[in-house]
Amino acid sequence: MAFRQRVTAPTADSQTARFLVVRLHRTYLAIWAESVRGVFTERECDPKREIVLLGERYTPMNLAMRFRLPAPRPTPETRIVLCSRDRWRCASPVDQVIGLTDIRREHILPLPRLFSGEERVWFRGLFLFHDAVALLVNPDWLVQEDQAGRRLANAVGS
Amino acid sequence: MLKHTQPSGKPVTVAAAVQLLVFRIGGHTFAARAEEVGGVQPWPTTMPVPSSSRFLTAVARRHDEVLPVYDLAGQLSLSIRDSAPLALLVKHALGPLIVRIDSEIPSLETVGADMIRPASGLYPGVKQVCRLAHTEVPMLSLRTLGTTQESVTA
Repeated sequence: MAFRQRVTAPTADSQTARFLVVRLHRTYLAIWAESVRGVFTERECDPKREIVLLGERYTPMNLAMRFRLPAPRPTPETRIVLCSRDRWRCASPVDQVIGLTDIRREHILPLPRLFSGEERVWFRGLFLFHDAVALLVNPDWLVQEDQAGRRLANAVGS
Repeated sequence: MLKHTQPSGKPVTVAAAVQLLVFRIGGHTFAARAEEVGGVQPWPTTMPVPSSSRFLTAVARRHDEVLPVYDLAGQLSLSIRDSAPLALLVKHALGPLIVRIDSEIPSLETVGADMIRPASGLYPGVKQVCRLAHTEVPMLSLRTLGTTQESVTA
């Protein structure tokens, strides 16, 4: 599955939220579709370089690393997902794009209470997805983490 | 403890009965109060969850329920090499969860409460042992796995 142009995915109604579900290793992550700007193959763009789409610059980011997972190994299923939120833009490789899904808000479950660490900030909840479970990535945390990471990298580099 | 009165009128104290589930993890025998277990089933497919909570790294589906998977073998510094392990459904204070145990079917045992005594240093997190057929078996508090008592009661 590859979206070769900008994706505009408004939610169906106020009771439903639309997500792009991606796979990192064996973990399914759900990204709010409204923040997804495009999906590309590695042949179409280099995940290690800045990507320019419709005049906007998307900086490379490794979503797997944010969750302390090993980086995706390039396969024919690997995709680069472009996301934006306000002025923040990023492009991250994922092992596979599963697809768009509409979820009724009441079907979004909180993380089980026993999970009490940083994962409570990383994820806003989860939902049942086919035979598996998709974890809802907290976009606010992702932006903050990425910006903090870049500031650190700039400080080390300067 | 229960108080009984002998025909002579002299009260005697009888230890209350405790029902235990006895199971194996990595070839080692453990016991837990049966009331803390909701069932035993074949090990389900699990999905890893990025997490910083110790010994909690996955979830499993059970019908429409999502259960955390607690790595009890990891906490006990044991490893399960069984090809067909079982899942113990735990009635944890913070919600149901599952732990992986060996494929050997667990057994139910009833003992007197006086057969249970405090112990430490056997395995990480194990605070009691139970005397079962001349053997002392480490007892696990499944209800409070991965939590401090304070966080359970809070």
